[in-house]
Amino acid sequence: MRNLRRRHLLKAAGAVVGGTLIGGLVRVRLSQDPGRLRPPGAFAADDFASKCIRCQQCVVVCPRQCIIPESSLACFLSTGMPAIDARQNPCDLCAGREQLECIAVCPTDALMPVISRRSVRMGLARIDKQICWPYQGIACRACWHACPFATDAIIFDPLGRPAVSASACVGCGLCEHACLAETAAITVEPFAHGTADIEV
Amino acid sequence: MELPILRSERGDGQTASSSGHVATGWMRRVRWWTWSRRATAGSLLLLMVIANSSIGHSSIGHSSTWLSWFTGSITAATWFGCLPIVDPLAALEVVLASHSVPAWTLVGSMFTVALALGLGRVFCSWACPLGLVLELNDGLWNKAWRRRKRQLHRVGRSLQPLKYWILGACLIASSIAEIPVFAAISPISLMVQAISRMSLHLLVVIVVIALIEIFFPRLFCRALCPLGGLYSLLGRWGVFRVRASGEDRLRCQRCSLDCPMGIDVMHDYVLAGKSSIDDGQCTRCGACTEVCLGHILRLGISSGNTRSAVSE
Repeated sequence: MRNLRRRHLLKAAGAVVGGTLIGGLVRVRLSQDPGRLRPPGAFAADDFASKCIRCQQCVVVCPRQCIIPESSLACFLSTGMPAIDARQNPCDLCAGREQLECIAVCPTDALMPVISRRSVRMGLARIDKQICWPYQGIACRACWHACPFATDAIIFDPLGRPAVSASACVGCGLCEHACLAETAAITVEPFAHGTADIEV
Repeated sequence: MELPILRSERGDGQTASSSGHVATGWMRRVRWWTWSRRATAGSLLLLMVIANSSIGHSSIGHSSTWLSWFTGSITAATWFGCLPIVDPLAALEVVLASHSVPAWTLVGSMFTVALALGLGRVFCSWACPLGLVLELNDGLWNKAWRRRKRQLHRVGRSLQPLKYWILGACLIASSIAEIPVFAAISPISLMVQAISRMSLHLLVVIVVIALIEIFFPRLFCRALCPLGGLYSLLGRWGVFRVRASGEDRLRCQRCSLDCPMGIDVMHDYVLAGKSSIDDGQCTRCGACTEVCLGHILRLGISSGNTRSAVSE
């Protein structure tokens, strides 16, 4: 009986130590991971990662099919997590639909309901002035035409050079998709792990 | 010892029907429970694969196509656009990792928890796609290697409680790493994803498990799967279970040898005079009822576990 109890105690200790070890390793590994652009409704990367159970429902319901499950060997842990490649196929925030379909279907609130499309924060667009045409003297408003909140999110200076307003940009990536430069001058930077800059 | 009833034995023991009355002819040789289980798990796998692969959605989006009544994978699914079903382990991990209780997760996992409490660990044999693959893999090796079952059945038995400790480790790891760990690396979920997206590198895990199981039959389901562990803990009191009735105890050991979960049905239950098998690890697969030569094991509804002791 005593022997049995000792064996159980050993196993419990093993489970605790093993769980802690694995948990710690996963945590360290994830903190090194560069953030990907997630579907709307995902705010801080940490919060999204803690709730996503890889059920693939957002991938399936996306009308634009812009949500693609990750499958990289580099980070095995994020296999199946939904991500968006904005240059290829950006999120249009379910334009013309009643609701954001991915948020409606998410069973774990990894994609949290939003009050309006304006309160989505997938990331923040950043302009590379080395590439952006107006900064080189060529007139261009491609990003402004693509942006769903154009009058607020992209502001032009008197010389016609664009700048992103952090308070209005939802990070959908339509601008990145529309950018006429060969490598996109305007790119959406997703919120990295550890940063929780939500300002809804 | 000569047992007269052994005359009815054919080939690999497919003699008994699972239905209550004794059937005749070919009806008797068909393993009804086994094939209904395989059909259920197989069609569920097919449904998930079609829903998640490009067959399921057209270029104009999924929500307008013929398969709009089902979305999801093995960790969570939505039926008919309104009925959420969530894997209880994934739900528990989400709660621990995110320190919150999302409403739909709670509602969705209530269904699976209720199913396990009522019917026992039925998920593992009736729904789990990995379980189906490993069962077929196991059958293949049993056929190729006649004495395998007898030789290897006891090997994994002492390892079986390991899954509870793995379950504990998964929960601890989830709360420390702040991601649902088993939902992320679950071979079940990886297999569905691998097939539906044709990303074959994900299948490596499944192949490794299948190779290990040549030597340790059903090791993953029996000893390693934390989801199976959780369902075992929940399913202990399920009323849908194998019942033992009648006095025709032949000691043929077929139930114990054929149990995919390694439960010693004959010694621990039938000869111990218990009326039903209340082991939480029983997946209600019906294998023992199909091979029973005395037709005393049947799947059915039962809650008690006592029987007037019969003299041996």
